[in-house]
Amino acid sequence: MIDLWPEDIEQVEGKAPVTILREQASLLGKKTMNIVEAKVRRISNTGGPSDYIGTFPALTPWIHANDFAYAFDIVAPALGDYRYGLFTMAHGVEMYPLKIKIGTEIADEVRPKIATKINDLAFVGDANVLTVQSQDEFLEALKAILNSAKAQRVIKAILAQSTE
Amino acid sequence: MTTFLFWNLNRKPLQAIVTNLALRYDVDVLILTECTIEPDVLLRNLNWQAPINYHYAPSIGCKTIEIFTRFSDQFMQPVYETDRFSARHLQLPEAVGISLVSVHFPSKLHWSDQSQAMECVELADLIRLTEEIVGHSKTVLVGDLNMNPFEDGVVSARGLHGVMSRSIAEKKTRTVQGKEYPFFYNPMWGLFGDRTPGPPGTYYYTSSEQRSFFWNIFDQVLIRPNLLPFFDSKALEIVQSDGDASLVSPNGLPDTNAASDHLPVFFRLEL
Repeated sequence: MIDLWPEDIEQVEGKAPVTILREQASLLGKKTMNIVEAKVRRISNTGGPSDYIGTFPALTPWIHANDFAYAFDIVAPALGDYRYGLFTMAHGVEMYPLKIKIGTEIADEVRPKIATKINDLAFVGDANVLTVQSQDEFLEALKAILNSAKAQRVIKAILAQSTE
Repeated sequence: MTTFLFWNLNRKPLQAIVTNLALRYDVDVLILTECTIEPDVLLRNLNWQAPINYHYAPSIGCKTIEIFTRFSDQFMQPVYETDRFSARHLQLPEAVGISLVSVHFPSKLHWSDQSQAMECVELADLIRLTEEIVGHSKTVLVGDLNMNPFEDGVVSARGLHGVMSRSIAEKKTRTVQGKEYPFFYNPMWGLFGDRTPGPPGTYYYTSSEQRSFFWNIFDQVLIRPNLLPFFDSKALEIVQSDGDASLVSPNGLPDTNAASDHLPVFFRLEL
């Protein structure tokens, strides 16, 4: 049988964005002795009522039908598993361009910080959806979000209340 | 009977009116948005006169919604929050446990209709996530959606799926293109216009465009079917007076000088 596939088909450049998210999620737990954790959950495109039903193109134009979509939640196990939704992310099969949807407060803070570092920085319409074109830009944006004043306040508030 | 009052304060120091409303309506759960009153200031006002002391029930991540209760906040723990969404599990002793979801959506000044509809889809997802976490769907959604009950995000199955008829909502779900979507009952439909007592809406806005509704019901209460047996539909009210002062001016519009540009919404649940 003739093998028509390229030799280097197994080689993958860069990490999958969800892998990067999961790594950062695990680091938060380590930094806080698991008092505050972060969890990445898949937003399913095909789930039934018991799943996290994610997308419907007519009403969610920033997530397309075949996108891989994830939510990044800050979690407080000692506070009844309280969750704070920090951002959601979606990308197609080619990983980039990738979209990140953040809250207004974080968007207002992050926008000026990364505008000079990310080419073609684009917030989709008025819904705080940021588009990045590469892993480097994704890391810049992610760093800005995780370091945002809002994210820090939520984490510190959870720490304070969890240790009362 | 557990009583709830929601009000968008338009960032004004309305602690005296809030206190009057809390006393007049015997409010157990005060849900406020665009509230710039410091919690201790409002507590002093409330507890100066109230026969039962109010407590501040702070959120962790959602600072756009402020909640004050006539019971300890340990009975209303936050479950899931974002910057504009707060889902809490309200479990009073020997009472039915419910999820109280409070929201404040961006206004039409800043967000397009499409963005608002998009946000309803995410809100619907977060509500279902909350219901999975708490293990039931006895959910009430209250807040300033900055949308009318008839707008896409509120009515669409993929959005909030809010329907005007209780009997339709009692069917629990509807299947659209092979997927099942739970209903909300939206009693706010019944408060539009002049056929019911009280103001024709909660927010008045007039524009020079061809289409202008004048009165809108942006501030809404939506009830899951499983919670409907506990909902006192007759008590639902768009409030126009705090007992001492009117919240509407002589021409019947929200008095933005003395009060807010939004009118409060009051409702009761038999928990």
